[in-house]
Amino acid sequence: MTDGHAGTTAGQPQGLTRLYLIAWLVLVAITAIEVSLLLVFRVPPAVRATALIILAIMKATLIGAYYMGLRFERLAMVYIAVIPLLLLVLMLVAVVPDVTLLLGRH
Amino acid sequence: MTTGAADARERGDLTARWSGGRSPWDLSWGKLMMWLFLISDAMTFAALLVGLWVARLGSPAWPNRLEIMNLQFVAAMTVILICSSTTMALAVYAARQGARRQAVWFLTATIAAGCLFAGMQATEWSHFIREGARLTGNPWGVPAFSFTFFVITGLHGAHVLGGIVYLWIMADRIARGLSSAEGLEIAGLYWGFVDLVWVFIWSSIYLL
Repeated sequence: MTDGHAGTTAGQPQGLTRLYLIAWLVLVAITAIEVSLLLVFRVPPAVRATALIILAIMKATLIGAYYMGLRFERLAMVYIAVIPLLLLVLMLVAVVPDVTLLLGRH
Repeated sequence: MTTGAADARERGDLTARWSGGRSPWDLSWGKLMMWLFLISDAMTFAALLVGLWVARLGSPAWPNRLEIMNLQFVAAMTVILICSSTTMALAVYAARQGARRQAVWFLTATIAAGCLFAGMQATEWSHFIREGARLTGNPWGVPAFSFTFFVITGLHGAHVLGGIVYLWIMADRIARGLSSAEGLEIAGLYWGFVDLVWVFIWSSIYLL
């Protein structure tokens, strides 16, 4: 099994240090943007919420792709990691009607 | 013509890959098991975060976090966790290159950042408790607010503490030559997940 893994490693690009540092820089920059969206810029709540969700997804994608190495795995492995998250969005959509019921009680 | 040949080769590869007798994911069992654990763990966090959002959207009011929590402080925690993920990835890379000593140094930096994060989270909790927040109620009149905060950040904090112990053991094993680079890569998956989950906790509890 280790041999199979070594094959994957061999397929990875060299100079990953630079890639990891770029990812770090982007992640820190996104965090700074997130904080400034609340503390510095005055933006409508809907725009701010949309921007924050997009930024969170960007951060999660960067971490999953580079720090967890999904970028270098087979696509089949990416499906295992990503499909449950898509199902999660469906679950969220499914429970939203309950929220309106809760609101109706207040 | 070339595209047709490439398609045929790809179809052949797919058949060979999925027709049994070998893992179609080309992963070692340890790495695959860690992924499966992390996905199930992600479902636990997902359920808690969905619960938080149902409680929040169903509540007529939700306290203004900017008045209660120190956003800059938690942003610093977030940056520290990002730094620790970077040093973890660098540790794995060093181990893969055979630079064991360097890998141990990067791991030590990761553990130090993890400890700092956990310490800052303890400070954040103390501040919140001093403000009057409890698991069952708080001065802002929305019990679900402090309940979800303590449960979600608490579970994440437990993951950080568990991760520190895990990385400590791995650093020792790598230093003594008992663990392979792949063993460290599996630990790196866990630590990356701790950072990944924090992205959504940070957004849901503090930002949105």
